[in-house]
Amino acid sequence: MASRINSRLVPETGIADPARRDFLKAAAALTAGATLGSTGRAWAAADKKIRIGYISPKTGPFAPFAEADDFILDQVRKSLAGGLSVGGSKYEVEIIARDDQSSPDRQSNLAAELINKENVDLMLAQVSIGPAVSQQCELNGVPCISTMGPWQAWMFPMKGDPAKGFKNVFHFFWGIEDIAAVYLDIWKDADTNKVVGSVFSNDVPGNAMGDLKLGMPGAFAKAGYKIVDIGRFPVGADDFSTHIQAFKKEGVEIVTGLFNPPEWATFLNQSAQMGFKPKLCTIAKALLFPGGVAALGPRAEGMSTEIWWLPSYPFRSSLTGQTAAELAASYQETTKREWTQPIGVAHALFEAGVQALKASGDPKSPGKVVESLRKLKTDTVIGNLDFGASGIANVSKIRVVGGQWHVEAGGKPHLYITSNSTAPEIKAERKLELLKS
Amino acid sequence: MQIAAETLLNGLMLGALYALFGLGLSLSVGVMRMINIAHGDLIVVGAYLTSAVMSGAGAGAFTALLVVIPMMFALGWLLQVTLLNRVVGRDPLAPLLLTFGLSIVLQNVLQEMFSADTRSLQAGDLAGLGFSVAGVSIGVLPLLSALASVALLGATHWLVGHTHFGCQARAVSDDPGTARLVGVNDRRFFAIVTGVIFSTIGVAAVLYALRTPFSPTAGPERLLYSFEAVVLGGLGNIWGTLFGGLVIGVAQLFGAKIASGLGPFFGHLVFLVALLARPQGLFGKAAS
Repeated sequence: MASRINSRLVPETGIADPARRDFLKAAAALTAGATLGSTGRAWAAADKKIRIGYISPKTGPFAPFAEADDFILDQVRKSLAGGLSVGGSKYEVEIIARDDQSSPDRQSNLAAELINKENVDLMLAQVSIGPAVSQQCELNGVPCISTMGPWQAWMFPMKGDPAKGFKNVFHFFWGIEDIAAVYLDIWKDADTNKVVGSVFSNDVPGNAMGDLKLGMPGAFAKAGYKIVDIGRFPVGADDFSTHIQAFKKEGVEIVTGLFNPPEWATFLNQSAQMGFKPKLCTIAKALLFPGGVAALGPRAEGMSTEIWWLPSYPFRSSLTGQTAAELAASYQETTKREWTQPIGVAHALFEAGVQALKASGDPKSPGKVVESLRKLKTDTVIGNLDFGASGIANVSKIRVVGGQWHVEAGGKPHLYITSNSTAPEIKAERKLELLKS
Repeated sequence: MQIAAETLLNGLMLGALYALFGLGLSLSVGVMRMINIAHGDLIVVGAYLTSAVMSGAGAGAFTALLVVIPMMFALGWLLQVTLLNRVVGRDPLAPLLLTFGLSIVLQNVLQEMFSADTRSLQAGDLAGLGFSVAGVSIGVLPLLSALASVALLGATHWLVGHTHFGCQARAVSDDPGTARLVGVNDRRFFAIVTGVIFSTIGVAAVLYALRTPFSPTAGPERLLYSFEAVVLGGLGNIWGTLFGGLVIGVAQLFGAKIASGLGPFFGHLVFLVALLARPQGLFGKAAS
């Protein structure tokens, strides 16, 4: 019975399919080899080819982070079209991109496929949904660089130790401590009663960032702010009256937390309906994407948030030579869409990968690539990355500053840098303004 | 005391919206014996449709309803005639599977057309308006949306109980064979029923999207709340659906008082307990 069910299920789940395709491919290759008699040369050429795997959530709920993928891949492929010279030899570079559909399981399977079937020499990944790719690479001894998630959310799920790190996998991004520092920087000159209402979502990032001792509220309390926190809200919540009631009662003037755009819009609407008028709202994630901010309409005016990358950053791409502003402009030109902050970070991921391959001397040797990554220092479009200097093994920090959205004439929101003491080389553009009541 | 009253009131207003989500499902279960898994996704489709009409015609959300309701009616009619009539009335599994597939297709089509960005319908100043009665603050938009939900449920109840349409609906639901004998063309009738269902979905979509921004993947959660409202109240009983929605809304908000992260969990818990106590739903007839 079991075998009958199996034999019926296999073709539908597609497990048998790739194997069959493999066989067909192999058969085709054999025939081609036999007719052309050039198998020997084909093997030699394959050795001079670097394969880079790239996994990102191109579809699904995390898709906004990978929205610019096609554009960035196109740019990177063009800049590498002439091949890459490493250690005196020229290599052809192939980038194999895969969509994990915002699913950690699929991410893991794709990583295994890229490692075992495509034999990638280097893996690049966006790990906003979790570090499954890095886990696969660590196990299989494939060098990997990832980004797009706080380093804590990358290191701790893999049971890593910040002092020891990992053998093969690397990560660059900010950490929870950096965001807390930015928020404190945003609030430092504002005239408030220093009572902070904290609202975090009940998921992995929300629980990590919202931890009352180790997370952001802990850092705010240490800096002399009074924290009002009545607990997490469920992801997708469409009612916040419990939180708003408590904030009103405690006289909260600053609201902070981690929201998805729809949840934040609901919170704002209900606050207005219930007569709760904070002086500052400094929110992570929900205010990242212009699309989400535009959905708030005029209520977006004065919302503050962290900034990881803006077209006004004073840095250049090592791949294309473009400044941050030129990169954003060419994105808008090509795609007719608004630039977003992850563009710079995703671009820098490829910069870091290419620099590591160049510095390795032998890109086909995983050991050499890992070695070069461990001490990699490179200038990218988001600024300098330095994997040796962060104090956390295998991790490089990126710059974060604080900013505030202003709704321009015509209803288009624009993000201005207001607070830069965390990265003084990035200029502040405007002073922070309190929310109008 | 004030806080408890405020929570109760907010819960009732939220619950009325859940009941409106459930209305279409209640009708389709009651009349066609069909569970539409794509129900939640259709609410999202309605929201995108309204958003498109609003930006296309520069109209407000409620004006857009004048266009959206007929469009949704046509969409429902078309879907029933071309697709759903092929499976309705046979075993209950076929419509379940078909609409499950439809749900996946709809989510992906929406993502392809509108990207994964969240969108919202702007209610203008209305969204932020609120007033206070004896220290209890009430939002104007949630109140209006709750009143509209109750009115629509009432109207549907009247439609089913007191009109020729309702008479046919009850006849087809009770005994499709005999209804056909006395001249009810059930396939053609089902198309009209689905049109009506889709019209209620259109209204639910607008009220939902005015309250919360939406994205292509927001549908399944809407389905869950709709389904709970329908089952809790008793299959095919419209006032039961209203009551089911209200119970879930209130349970969610009082649950959030106990543990702020677990509001929906308490909604599900109440649903489960009620179902264990009365498997036929609070207002359902006991199985004979």
